[in-house]
Amino acid sequence: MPTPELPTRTRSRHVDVATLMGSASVKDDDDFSDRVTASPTPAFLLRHWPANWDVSTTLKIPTLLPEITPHVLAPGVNGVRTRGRRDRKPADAYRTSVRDHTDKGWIYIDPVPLPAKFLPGEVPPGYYIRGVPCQTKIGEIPGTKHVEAWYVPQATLPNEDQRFKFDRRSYELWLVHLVESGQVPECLDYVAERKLRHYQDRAGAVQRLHRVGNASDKRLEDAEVRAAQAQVAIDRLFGGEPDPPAPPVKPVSTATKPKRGR
Amino acid sequence: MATITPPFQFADTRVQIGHSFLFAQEGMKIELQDRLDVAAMGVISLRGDVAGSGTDTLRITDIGNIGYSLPFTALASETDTVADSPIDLGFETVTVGTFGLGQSETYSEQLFSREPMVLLDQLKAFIPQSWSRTFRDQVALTGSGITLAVGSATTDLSVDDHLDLVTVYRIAVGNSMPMAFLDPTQIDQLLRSYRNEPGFQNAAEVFSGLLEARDGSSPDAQIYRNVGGLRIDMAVTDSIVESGGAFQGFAFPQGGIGWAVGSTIPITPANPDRAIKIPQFGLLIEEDTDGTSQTTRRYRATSWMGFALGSERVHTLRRFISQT
Repeated sequence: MPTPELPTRTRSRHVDVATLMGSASVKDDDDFSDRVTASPTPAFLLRHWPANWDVSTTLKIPTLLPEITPHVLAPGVNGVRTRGRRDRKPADAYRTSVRDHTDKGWIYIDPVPLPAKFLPGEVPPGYYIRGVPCQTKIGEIPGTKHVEAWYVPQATLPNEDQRFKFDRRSYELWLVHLVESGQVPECLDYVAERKLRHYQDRAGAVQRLHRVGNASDKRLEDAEVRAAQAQVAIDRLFGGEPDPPAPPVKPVSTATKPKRGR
Repeated sequence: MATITPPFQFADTRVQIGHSFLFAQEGMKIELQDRLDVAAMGVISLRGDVAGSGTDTLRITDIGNIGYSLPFTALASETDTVADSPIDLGFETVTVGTFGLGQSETYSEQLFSREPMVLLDQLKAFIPQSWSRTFRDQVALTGSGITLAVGSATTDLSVDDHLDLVTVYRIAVGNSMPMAFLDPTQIDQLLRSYRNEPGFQNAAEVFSGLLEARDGSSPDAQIYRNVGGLRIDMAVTDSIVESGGAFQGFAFPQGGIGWAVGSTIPITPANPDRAIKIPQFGLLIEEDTDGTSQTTRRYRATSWMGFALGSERVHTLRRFISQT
């Protein structure tokens, strides 16, 4: 009997997430043949809190990047309602919750199609959220597993839950794009300085522990590398044009000032 | 009819008068499960009951700029006017959602089945565990929405991240001790980080207590008390959300995450004789047929509950993140 072919890629469909005030519709189909083994997960919107930044790890030059987190659109969680008959669109269930969080200061990422260069090569073009048709291991109950576009399906054994691998490289390129395109405002100065100080303080503390033999070499190395990366990233952020030279200071005249003419 | 030629072999008689297998004389084994019962831990505060209120949303109010937050003002002179001080009012909301679970069987299944565990009467006994699992999942989803984070999406959870979490709660005066919820991989990352620390290796008892394997059948197996002696208990669950290549673990003090219930007392179900209400869970379990066939029996469990983060003016909340 020939060895069964393992699936190497899972077709992931777009989730049509319109504007924040529009409708997020998930189109489920009845085609069971292409479903992966996984439990369904709720849809989400991606958002940014202005104080949350971190240093990149895959870019050539360390860069300060915004942290993007999900607002999970599950009924009964953080203000999302169970839809009723009067809620014609799925967005009606989470509209109030999104508005409340926006009022608090969260910045929601525009659900626009992403250029291919910000996506892993194996993932078709589309939005930042993907709906993967799935069925549970027990009972083969169909549903949709919602993942971020940078979660690439991996070859998985037939009886295991579908595995995904996160492509951080393309993800960080997208984060750079978010700032450059203005979807996310640039990092505030004090936030950047605080981040740098955090990594420097940590490196200093670990150095002191290491000197007396209470910290491992790896811990010291990790802390120092991270602090150095943070320094480069912050320097780059504050780099820009050099300050203009200060104007020459005129000496104070001791001559008597003429009286105002009458 | 079959002729059995001598010598009579079991391989031949089994086909006619034997069995292919015999069921073991013990109960059915239950698969490995994440058994963390967050509801029973008492760390999620019940904010209220929306039953009979006219709304599915509960509002929790808070006040600031009073008491310890409002000092007296020194008057510059004997006749200075004392200015009136404002107060700060805010609120958080919990919206109740609807959750359902059901199973069904035919009368033939009841008639012929030899295993009581697969019949509805036994399966209904597991509904509280299903409810607890749902409760835990919703808490994890809620925790993933916390604003600020400790740790990094690009590194394993480490001793230094743990110390940073302690620092947060040390600096934020007035907080009660937090509890952290982590993915199993996160706690393993953290404990391995401790293993590499020479300082810990000199304290054999602490060291082994930190790294020992656990008996998974114990109710407390998924709770790590006082990790590293830093007085933060950590509970481990598979329900932790994954996003941006990171586990979105989280930490909060008692009451930092709250829930609201819709008590099922006001509900009159279609089949009251076969209905069970557990109002404190917002749970209603009722039986009916599946509608298309009269030779089936079905139960449907419905629960009304909602979860939300507490106000960050009142509680210090943090996500506790690390790479997957």
